Amino acid sequence: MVGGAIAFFIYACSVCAAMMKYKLSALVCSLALMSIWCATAFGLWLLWLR
Amino acid sequence: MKIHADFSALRRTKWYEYVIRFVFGGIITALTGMIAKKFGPEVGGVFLAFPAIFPATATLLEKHEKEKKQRRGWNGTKRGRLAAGVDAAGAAMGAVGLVVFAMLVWKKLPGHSGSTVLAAATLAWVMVAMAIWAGVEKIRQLQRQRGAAKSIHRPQAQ
Repeated sequence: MVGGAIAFFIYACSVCAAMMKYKLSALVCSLALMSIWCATAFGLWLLWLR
Repeated sequence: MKIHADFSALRRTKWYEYVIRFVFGGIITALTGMIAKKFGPEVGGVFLAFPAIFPATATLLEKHEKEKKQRRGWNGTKRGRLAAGVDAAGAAMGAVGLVVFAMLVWKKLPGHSGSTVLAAATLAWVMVAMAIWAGVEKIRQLQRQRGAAKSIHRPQAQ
């Protein structure tokens, strides 16, 4: 859950930056950037928790 | 910024918008349970922080803000997207609280009562998230004051 929460922080920051800077649609941003959550969460899991 | 509750937002939210959030949240909760059962709690735990409700909430917030502006005769697209961006910033603050929550539960649960640890971790989440929000708000207030002071002291063009 720690890894997932860190990934969620990075995901939320990325969505915030993308929406504020490029004014992209919330649906596109929040779904497209889920790949960032997956990469971070499972990257942390592989490096730290596995 | 003064914190206040806007209960009119509850009236503006349609029943199916609540259903969307409950369905997304419910599906991910059920999937997390299934993943934890199959692959173990370490993998299942990762999904406890999956952004399940955020896309639905951000999308609906964008739509509501857009509609609010359109009722006044403006486009509202930019305003809706900015509001959803601010929602994401709030989610990031909550995520830091979630990291603290997860760390506390991870480290303290083996030696203490479950209900006590969960209550303390929830309290820690609230305190951390609110402290970050207050800190960010203070920084923004100082930046606004500095900006206002600069505009007062700027020499007038001849």
